Amino acid sequence: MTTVRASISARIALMDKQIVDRDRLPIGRVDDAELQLPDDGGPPYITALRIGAQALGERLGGSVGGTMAAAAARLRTDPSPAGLDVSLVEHLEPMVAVRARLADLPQIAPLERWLAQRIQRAPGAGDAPQ
Amino acid sequence: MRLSEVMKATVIDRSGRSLGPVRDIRLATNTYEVIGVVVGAGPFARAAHAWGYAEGRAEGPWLLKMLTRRAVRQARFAASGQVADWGPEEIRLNVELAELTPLMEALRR
Repeated sequence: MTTVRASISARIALMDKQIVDRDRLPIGRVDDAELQLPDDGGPPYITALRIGAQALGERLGGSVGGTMAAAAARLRTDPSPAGLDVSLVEHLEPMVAVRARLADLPQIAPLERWLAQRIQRAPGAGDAPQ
Repeated sequence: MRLSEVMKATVIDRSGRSLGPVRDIRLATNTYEVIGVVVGAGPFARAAHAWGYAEGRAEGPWLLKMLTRRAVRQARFAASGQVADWGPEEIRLNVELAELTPLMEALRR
């Protein structure tokens, strides 16, 4: 059983932490997490990390949060916020690292992907210095 | 249930007394299981927990440390076994406030 000293603070070590993929490319921040309550009455555990404006808007609440979440939800085909299964998480410190590559996570950052595809097609995009 | 919902919940002890909002959630590093919640009330409690004074992660500046000192002393840890109902709006404990461990003492264990 984990002692309190060996445990981590969700507020400090998880929420709003940068998430990087297997190649250390930033893929977002932890905007929220999904908790599951087991049927046997045990303590809840995290099943997924929620990422993106929809999750952040729902977390903030109020008119600003509601507007943010609604606008982000309209840009998605899936009604629930983008999520990462917690089994993909490799470690949490110093940042949240996942075992998968961003290219293999189609549910993450769809707007950024869409924009990147358009920018790649723009005249002169191939001449940009690396 | 969302983590942020639990973070906003109010903690109620066995006798129905409100102990204040959840200030933090402690997680097991290997299973991501919630091992307990931190509860605290009073002036500067939010700052004490958000800036790490309650956990002993922050030591200064001196003025902030003094202002948050009372909130740090009053912070309590409720283990998952002491939680009867996980909310989401209220977390009900099966113990009284006096039976909860001070956070600083729990962090030394």
